[in-house]
Amino acid sequence: MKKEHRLFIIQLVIAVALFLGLSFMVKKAFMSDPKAQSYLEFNEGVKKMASSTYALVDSLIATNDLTFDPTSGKDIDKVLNNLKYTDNKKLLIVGSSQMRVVQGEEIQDAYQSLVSRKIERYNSKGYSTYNLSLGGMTTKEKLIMTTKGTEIINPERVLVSVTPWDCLSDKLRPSIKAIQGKTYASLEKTDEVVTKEATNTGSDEVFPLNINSQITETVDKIVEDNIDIYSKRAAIKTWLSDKTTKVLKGIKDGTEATEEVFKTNLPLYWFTVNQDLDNLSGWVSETAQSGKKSIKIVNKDPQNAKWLGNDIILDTPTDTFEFEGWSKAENVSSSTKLYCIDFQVIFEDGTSKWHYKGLTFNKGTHDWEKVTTRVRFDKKVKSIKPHVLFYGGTGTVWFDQIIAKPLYDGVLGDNVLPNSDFEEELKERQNVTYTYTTAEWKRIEQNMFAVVDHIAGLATKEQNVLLFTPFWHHNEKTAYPQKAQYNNLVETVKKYCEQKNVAFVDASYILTKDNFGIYTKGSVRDKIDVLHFNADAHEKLAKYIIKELNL
Amino acid sequence: MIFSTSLFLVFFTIVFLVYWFVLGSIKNEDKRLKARIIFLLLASYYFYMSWNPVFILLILFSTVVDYIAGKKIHNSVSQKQKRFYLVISLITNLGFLAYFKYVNFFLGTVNDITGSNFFVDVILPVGISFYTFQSMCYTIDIYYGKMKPSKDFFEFSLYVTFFPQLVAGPIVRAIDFIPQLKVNQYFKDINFQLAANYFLLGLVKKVVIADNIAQFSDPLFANPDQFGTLSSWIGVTAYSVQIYCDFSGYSDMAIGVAALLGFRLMENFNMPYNATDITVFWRKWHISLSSWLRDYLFIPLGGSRVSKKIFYYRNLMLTMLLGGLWHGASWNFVVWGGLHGSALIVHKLYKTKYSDNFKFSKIGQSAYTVGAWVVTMIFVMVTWVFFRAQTFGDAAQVLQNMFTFQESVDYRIPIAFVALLAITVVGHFFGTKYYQEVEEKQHHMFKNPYLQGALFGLAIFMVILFGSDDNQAFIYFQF
Repeated sequence: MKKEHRLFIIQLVIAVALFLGLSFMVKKAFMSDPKAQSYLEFNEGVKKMASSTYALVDSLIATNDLTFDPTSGKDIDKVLNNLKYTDNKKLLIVGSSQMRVVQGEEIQDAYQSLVSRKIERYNSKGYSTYNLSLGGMTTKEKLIMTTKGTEIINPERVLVSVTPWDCLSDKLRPSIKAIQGKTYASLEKTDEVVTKEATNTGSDEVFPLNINSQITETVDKIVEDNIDIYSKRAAIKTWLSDKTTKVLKGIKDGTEATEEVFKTNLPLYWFTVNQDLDNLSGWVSETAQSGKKSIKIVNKDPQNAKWLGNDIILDTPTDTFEFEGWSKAENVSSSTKLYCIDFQVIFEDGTSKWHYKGLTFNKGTHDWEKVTTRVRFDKKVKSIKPHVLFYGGTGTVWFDQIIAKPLYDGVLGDNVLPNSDFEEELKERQNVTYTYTTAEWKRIEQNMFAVVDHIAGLATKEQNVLLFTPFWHHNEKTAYPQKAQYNNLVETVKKYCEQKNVAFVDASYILTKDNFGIYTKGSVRDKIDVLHFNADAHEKLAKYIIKELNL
Repeated sequence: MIFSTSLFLVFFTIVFLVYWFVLGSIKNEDKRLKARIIFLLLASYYFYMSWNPVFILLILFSTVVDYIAGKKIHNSVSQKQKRFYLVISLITNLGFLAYFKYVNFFLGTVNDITGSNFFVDVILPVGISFYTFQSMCYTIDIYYGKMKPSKDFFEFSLYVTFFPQLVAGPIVRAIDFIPQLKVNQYFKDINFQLAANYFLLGLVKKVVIADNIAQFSDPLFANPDQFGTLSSWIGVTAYSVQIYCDFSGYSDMAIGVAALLGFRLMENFNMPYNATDITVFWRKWHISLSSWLRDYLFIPLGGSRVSKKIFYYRNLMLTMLLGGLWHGASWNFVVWGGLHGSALIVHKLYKTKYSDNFKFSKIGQSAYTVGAWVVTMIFVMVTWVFFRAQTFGDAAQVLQNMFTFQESVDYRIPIAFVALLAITVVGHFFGTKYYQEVEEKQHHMFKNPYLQGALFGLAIFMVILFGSDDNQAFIYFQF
């Protein structure tokens, strides 16, 4: 044996010994954690769900019943080729993942719980539903899927679901772009056994490669059964990641962090734009009117800098408010245009107004200074949005105690602004929210109009439908915190649907918190999933659609 | 069939055993050599057909055309005849490439201009850009008299389809590879250390780093408008690591697998992110392609030996634009190539005019080097945005996120990202200290064999525990 080969054998011995040693240590540490079992159970659940997804697609293809695609558009071509024929009336549903995800359930069981299946079961007019819903379809994608689906199945009605979130982007995924120019055979009765053969002319037919998948499955199973650390790897990875996160947080905070608390070092509710400081550096402890913290703006050049919060919807609309706030200034230039607290109020009729009269601070340099005013508007206000402005000047300013109190029948209510004294820190985000600029709301509206135009022009026998799907609606945290803009959008699109003779179903607020689940993986793990809902919710939505459309 | 799957493990184990022990037992040297070539050819065809059996016909057709063209070129007496057969070869190869890879790009551009809706339903055969370039350089080398044509069709076919590097390189030259097929390999000569070193290093790069770090770049490029400045920089940095580890990982594994069969493939990457200028970067990144473009495009265009500097820069730019287009049928790749071409020109101009005039102290020199490295890396990262983004709009959005302050939803820097980046940085910048050059200075290995053994163990542990759960295809398969 050559010297090099002997050396390689020694290297292999070292490698195996090190591998076994490391595996033993990590596994021992993992198993000694009291929570190890829960990690293992979680891992099993994820594995089961992953395998069932593919099993589901395969079984649906086998029964020629593939009407939706749980693979994010990867197999959309296959899906279109496998649409089934039916003697019933056909309802084509085109939407995003909301219409195909049953949050918190196992996918195999969930299939029968989907809103499309429920409509099929509960309606009295014999509709077969076709749910062409992929993950996060954009407007452009919905238009293509609607066109393709209509070409193939020639439905009696088309229902397209929309949300602000999926009407924002103009993206077009390659998988959907690829089907744009393709022609698919439309379904006639004679096509009863739809293109199943056509789609199965893949490699298995031409060349016996199915042996490859058998080999893979066999080897993977041998490895899974015999290398313990391999079979537990997903659980151990999650455990290690959680452990590392905790340790690092502990080091950073100088305390033993708990799993429930995650510090962001950002103020709750407030954020800043157009200035030299950001949300992190602009939230300061160097001075405060009360407590320990305040917010700061530094303008080296005259900029339109501000801190602001999101819309606050009032439980009960009112026309009178008392506003107050404190500010401290250093070298604020005399050329400054606006150095004040400014409230954007939205009235019940959808119009809005800015109010800063009586809320302007002195320029130059001064210590904490208070402004306060009581104002009565000529209409009832349904929501307010606070801004603190430092426009068009240079210098440094601090703000504290920004307060807005509504008056009901002359009685002063509680302050409605969160974190008025800037003491509270933004904790772990409990949910994902979608906040948009005015321009983005406009784009969303235009995209929704495009969908309405498109489905209004489809040659179907019955009136087509636009559906606003439900989201998590909660007073403090919600999918769309700018409720005024959201409601305005709903009203505008509703009117447009009327003009275009498209039925409009608004299911925005039909569900409760209990209907929304928790993300179990990805970067949003453990957060509320504000757009996807559970089986009960699918049932509620199906019944709501049936009722609204008289199906 | 992907290197990092159990299927490949079984496939390669069978190939290895049959190649060395079953066919190795044939006493007659010539017959053994022939049997091994035919066996490796069949194995390579099976490897390719595992993806899509039909497209093997395409490779077979190109192989036959180039084999015949090579012979005809060599036997032609007149230059005109030689050129005729070369053109046949080039048209066949580039024709296939143009149809399968670029037809919808061309039609898409026409559609954008005219508002039409032409589209051809065509699948891009995996690895077509690699084997086409490989096959083409065979006839070109014969045309220029650098080599004689192969007398054995199987031998030439194996050169075109040798499975370790068939679908994603390194792009091998006939002049380097075919001579290796003419000599019998012996089991005792296998450099197991080198093979294991390359294969395990590649595996770690692919399944531990590239596949895991993708989670920080994919969401950015899927929805760029929903990311802030910090998360966009994280996403682009993650992609820079991902593309390097993915592609160089494949090349490393290819070198390792080939070494286990007794073959030597060229090094395709040489710590490219150490480069302190863009010219050096291209000497270290995808070396087999950049040297191919240099020898078969840049130099035939006139290279740097031209009457006016402007022609040199034109040649450089054309080479980079076509190099960009080679990667994919999209204007994004053209822009990517164009930006690199421009940077190369700027660097040449800078070097000519200023660089030699600088006199630095030791500290000044270090600061200059660090500054040059930072500039080079930022440029490389920015251009990866065009490489990765699906549309110009997406690329512009990512760049806007990076260079104008955008609100971030989340200010955390993920620990997994930091860990993966740290592994890459440590390996990239400090690994070289412990390397030695071996095998005619073509390959590298650790100096300390015991440390090498420990790293094998650590690599296996990391692959098993931290390997991504999804078997993601290598990025360069699509090219």
